[in-house]
Amino acid sequence: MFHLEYDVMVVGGGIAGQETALNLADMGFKVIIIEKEASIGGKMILLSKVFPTLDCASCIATPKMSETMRHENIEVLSYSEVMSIERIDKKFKVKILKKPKYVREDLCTGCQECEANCPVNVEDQFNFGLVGRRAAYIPFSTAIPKTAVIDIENCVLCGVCERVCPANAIDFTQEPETYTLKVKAVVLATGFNLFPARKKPQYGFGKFPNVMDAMEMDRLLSPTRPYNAVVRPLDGKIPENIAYVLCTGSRDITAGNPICSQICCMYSIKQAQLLMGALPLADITIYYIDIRAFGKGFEEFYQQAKDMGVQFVKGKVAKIEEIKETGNLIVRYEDIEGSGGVKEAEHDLVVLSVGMLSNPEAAGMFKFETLELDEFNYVKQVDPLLNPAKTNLKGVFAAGTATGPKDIPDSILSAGAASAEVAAYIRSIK
Amino acid sequence: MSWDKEKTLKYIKKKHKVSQEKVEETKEFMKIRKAIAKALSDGPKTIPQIAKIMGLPLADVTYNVMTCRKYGYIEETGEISDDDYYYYELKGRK
Repeated sequence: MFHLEYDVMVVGGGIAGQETALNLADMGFKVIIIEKEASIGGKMILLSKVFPTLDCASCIATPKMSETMRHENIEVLSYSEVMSIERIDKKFKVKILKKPKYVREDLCTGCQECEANCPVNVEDQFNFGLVGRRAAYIPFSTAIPKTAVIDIENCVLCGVCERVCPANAIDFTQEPETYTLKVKAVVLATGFNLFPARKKPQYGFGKFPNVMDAMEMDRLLSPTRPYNAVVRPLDGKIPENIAYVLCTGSRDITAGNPICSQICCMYSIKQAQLLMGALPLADITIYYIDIRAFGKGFEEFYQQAKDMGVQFVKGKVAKIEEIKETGNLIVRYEDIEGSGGVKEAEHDLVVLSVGMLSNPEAAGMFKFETLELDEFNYVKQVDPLLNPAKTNLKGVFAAGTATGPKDIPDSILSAGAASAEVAAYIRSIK
Repeated sequence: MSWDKEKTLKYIKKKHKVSQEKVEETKEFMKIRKAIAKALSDGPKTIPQIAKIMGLPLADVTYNVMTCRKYGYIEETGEISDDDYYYYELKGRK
């Protein structure tokens, strides 16, 4: 049941947002999650497995998404955006825009008849354009809520979805709706953006089909993968010799992101191990400038990859070129640990281990006050040691990668800290 | 109670104009889907073999074959060619 007053509004329904909401809801607080996509889940639900345990990401994420959706103290507004947040006394007045899905969520059963019959094909954003999707679609197979949405910008208004829907759930009369809520505290769990690999044109992403980014590779390795197996996007060939280019858009002043993204080394090692399972005969080479295996079990995970036969080459990749006839790629790098010098190596698939960038969109939500960001455009932690979720605005907290690069366990820890700080804050203002 | 199966479509058609470009793209995809089906009508093929018949760039054919696979029009046979490509064949759905 939708109300207009909540204890806490969590902006973002990724893993950190869900964890914060669940912690607070279990304490008895009424929580609303505002999620801009048609499903909660964030980036984690799109991953194959997690490091260093190699647990299935969706096996962890899906039950949590389900618990979030079904919790009696949590309301989820998907396909919605925060338009403004305004402080009024000890509360916040929040304006929310709910975009029309053109599908009645109370009637849709998720049967996907509309999707199966829709004639439109556009790039599937949840598979990063590796395959298409329909204009009437369910975001992904484990989406929650599992209800369809009509992408009206790409819809040709043929009406087939409305004709075939057995639940009569299609409703083209829907309009954007605005709601005004009152909340006592706000948690920004707005996540991060992936570094766009096109910003390193020397690596050929977007130009050479066999240069992909690591998120695309995670999709290929996922149980809900877009292809039937790990094959090349150029021609469907099973790759035999795969290269990883670490620090693509991290620790790189020229790319505008001088900091370490903290996840790329380990997700690349994870993917390398998964690839060795999926393609036992393939050679995997990781080009790196440093391996930062700093977390619990990370060094062992790194050593395990070496023992499995993953080759680690210390050297900065300068350029990638395509061999037209085969689609293979020539990786040009400076070998700074082996025999030295500028070298070239041929690979039939290259994965760019792209870094994290901040998602500063939360800063634009506040009326009459300014949310401070740090020098890298993450939400600034004003007391990182004692109150890591605290922002410069009283009653506004941050969780997960909103405050800086983090892996999944650290995002969950950060959500735990945010929940405790929010609970203490709400009790203090009563 | 009878239900007009297109009653809300009429409503949006009055206020939302579909671009001709979208219509053409949709027609193009349907043509490609049929061309893939035709290429596979005489037996399973690899993506380069399908691309050769269709005369389209390899990357475009891979995207469309995988999209057709996603929507149940075709599936992999499980066989792999000597040059490391999967074979794809028509599935029940037309």
